[in-house]
Order: sequence, then C-alpha cells, then structure tokens
Amino acid sequence: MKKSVNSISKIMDLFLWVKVRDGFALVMAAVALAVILTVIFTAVELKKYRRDGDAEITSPDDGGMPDSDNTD
Amino acid sequence: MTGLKKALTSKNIISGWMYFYIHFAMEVLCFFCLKKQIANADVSLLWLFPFVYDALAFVPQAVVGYINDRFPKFNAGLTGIILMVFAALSFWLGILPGRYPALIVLCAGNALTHVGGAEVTIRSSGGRLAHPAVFVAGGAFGVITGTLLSGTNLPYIAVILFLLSAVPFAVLAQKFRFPYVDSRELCKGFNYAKKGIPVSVILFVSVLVVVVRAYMGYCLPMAWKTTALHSVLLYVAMGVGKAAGGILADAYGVKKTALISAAGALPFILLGNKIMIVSLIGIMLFSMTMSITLALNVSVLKGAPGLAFGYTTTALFIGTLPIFFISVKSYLLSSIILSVFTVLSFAALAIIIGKDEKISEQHQ
Repeated sequence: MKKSVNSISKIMDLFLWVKVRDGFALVMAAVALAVILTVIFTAVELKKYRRDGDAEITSPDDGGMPDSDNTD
Repeated sequence: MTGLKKALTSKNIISGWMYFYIHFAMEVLCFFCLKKQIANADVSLLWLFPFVYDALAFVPQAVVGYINDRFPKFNAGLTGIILMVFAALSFWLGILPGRYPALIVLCAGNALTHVGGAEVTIRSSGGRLAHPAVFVAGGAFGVITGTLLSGTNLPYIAVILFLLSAVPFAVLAQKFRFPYVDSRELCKGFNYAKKGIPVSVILFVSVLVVVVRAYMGYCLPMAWKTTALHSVLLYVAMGVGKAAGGILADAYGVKKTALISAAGALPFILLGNKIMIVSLIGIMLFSMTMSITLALNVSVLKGAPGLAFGYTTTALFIGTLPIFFISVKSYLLSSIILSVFTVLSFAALAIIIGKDEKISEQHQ
C-alpha cells in the first residue's frame, strides 16, 4: 500500500515537473521573442533617426508645422 | 534653491503626480494579488510565480512601448487598469481556469499602464526628468503597501476599488500626451547623452548600468532590517530617492546628480549595515540614477519614448534574474560586489552623460 502511494506521488511529481518545465519554457520563449522584437524595433527606429536625424524639426512654437511624415 | 523650486513647479509636473497615484494603486493591487497567491502556492514552486510575473510584466514593455508610440490615441494606462482589475477579479472569483492565465492578464495590464505612464510623463516634460521620476517613484510605495495588505484579511474588492479610483487620473493624464505632435519634437529637450558616442554604445551602457543597479539592489547589506516597519522605511527611501533623482537632476544638472549619487551611495550602504539611518541615506542615493538612465535612453530614441522606457524595464528583469538562482548572504562578498559594480557604473555614467552646462541651456 505504502509502495503504491509512493509510486503515485512520484508520478505526480513528474507530471508537476513537466508542467512547470513546459510553462517555464513558454515564458522564456516569450521573453526571447520580446527581446528580439525590441532589437528589431530599435534598429528600425535608429535607421529612421539616422535618415531624418540631421533635418531640423520645425517647432510649432516657431510658427511652423511639424514635418507631416513624422507625425504620429 | 531657485533651481529646486523651478524643478518642483515645472510645467506639466501634474502629469507626473497623476501617474504617481496610478502607479501606486496598480502596484498595491499587483503585489496584493501576487503575495496572496504565493501564500497558497506549493513550497517547491514559490519562486515560479514571481519569476513569471517579472518576466511577463517587465520584458514586453519595450515592444508594448514601441507599438504605443505609433498609436497616440490609445490610452494604454486606462486599458492596463481594466486588465488588472479583470485579473484580480479572476484571482478572487476564479473566472479564468487556474492561476497562471490570470497572472498573464495581470502582467499585460501592468506592462500597459507602465508604458502609459512613461509616454505621458516623458512627452509632457519638455526634456525634464522630474515628471518621469515622480511617476516611477509611486511604484515603490505601492509594492510595500500591497505586500503588507496581503497579510491582512482585506478582501480583493477593496484593492480593486482602490485601483478603480485611479481611472479618472488615467483619463485626465492622457490629455498631457499631446497626441498629434511628433514625439521627436516633444522629446527634443532630452539631450543628456554625450555627443560623438555611437547611439548603440549609449543604449548598451545605459542598459548595463540598470542591470548592475538591479542586481546590486539584492546584494545590499541590511542587517538592521528585521521588522515590517523597517521594510516600509526601506521602500519609502527607495521611492523618495527615485523622485529626488529626477528633481535634483533638473535643478543642479544630470551629470552632477548621477555621479554624486552613484559614488556617494557606496560608503553609506556599506557603513549602514547595522545603522538604519545611514543605510537609508545610501539607498536613497542609490535609487537616484533611475530616471537618469531613462533620460539617456530617450536622448537617443527621441522618436520612441515608449521603447526607450522599455529598455530600462527589460534591464531590470535581466538584473534580477540571478537572484532567483543565487543569493549573496556574506557581508564581505556583497561589499566586494557593490564596490566593483559602483566603480563600473560610475565610469559608465561619466563616459556617456554629456556636460551639464549644455543641458541647462535647453531649459531656458
């Protein structure tokens, strides 16, 4: 009786470990995806910045309008 | 004192205080739910719940921020509050199956509201640091309040109603975002990075400083911290330090504040192992660089302040990652780690921050 309870307990531990391991892997995959997307978005942003960076942005306070291409 | 008065009463500083309250209320709810759930968790899985929370609330903020940069009409703060309320209801009433789906919704809400706060305060600050610094400071007060409340018999509905009290502020604060103006126009005052250094280097070093600071935060020797009141004082010192960092940087210069606080924190922290007041001064100084690293990121990513903010939260996660697996208990070892990392942070900040004279000109 005691032996079978121990076996069930071991199987339950294994199930729990697989569940945790898979969940952990899923979280780490989400983290990795977020980091990759962050790097890609930064590269896009910096490329845009380098392209337009030297151009003076006209301030509405100076009587001008912001560059329409850059308007959110 | 004139500089300090100007920093405290600068234009649109109210956006910072509105998000201070929102940040405070959201962390109360998040930590109330987290600690309640951990209290009922399997002992072998105690680490998993906070780990998933840190990973899914902190790391995606850069992506969420970048998307939010592109959709200025979207109220990220308000959406985040709604999600967090739903998550808390789910923890309470079991709407979603299991605890982890509710935790994922809580993380999504947390990330959205953080990004909303960053967008509003950075865009309305005119290049000043006080606004985002005040917003960030609210979190420290919320973390300790939520943790303490989780140990009481307070029902979930009380913290849910408390977070809902922040809804009017989330709606009002959105007005400060100036949605139809190019964010590079709004963020043009952020010129704190040293000229001539490649943007990628500035970003990398700034992230490294946040990683190191986050890790150092878990190595601080605090033999004096034995009661709940001590924990409250610790978090108050952190919150005050975070806000003061931005305010002092506006008043006296970013570089001066960054270097004095980075170097000044070390002796207070090491000598304050057993003396609470000395340690608290050190922790206050230690927390001051928070808004400065954020301002450095915005300086090189003016078109995407949400993405820039996300870099700091991703770095915070990376910095806290080792503590889930290794804990430093020896005073000698933590002193060595703190000293080495302080020197590294000091050198890094000295290299990448531009001169204060130039910075003061932009606020004229």
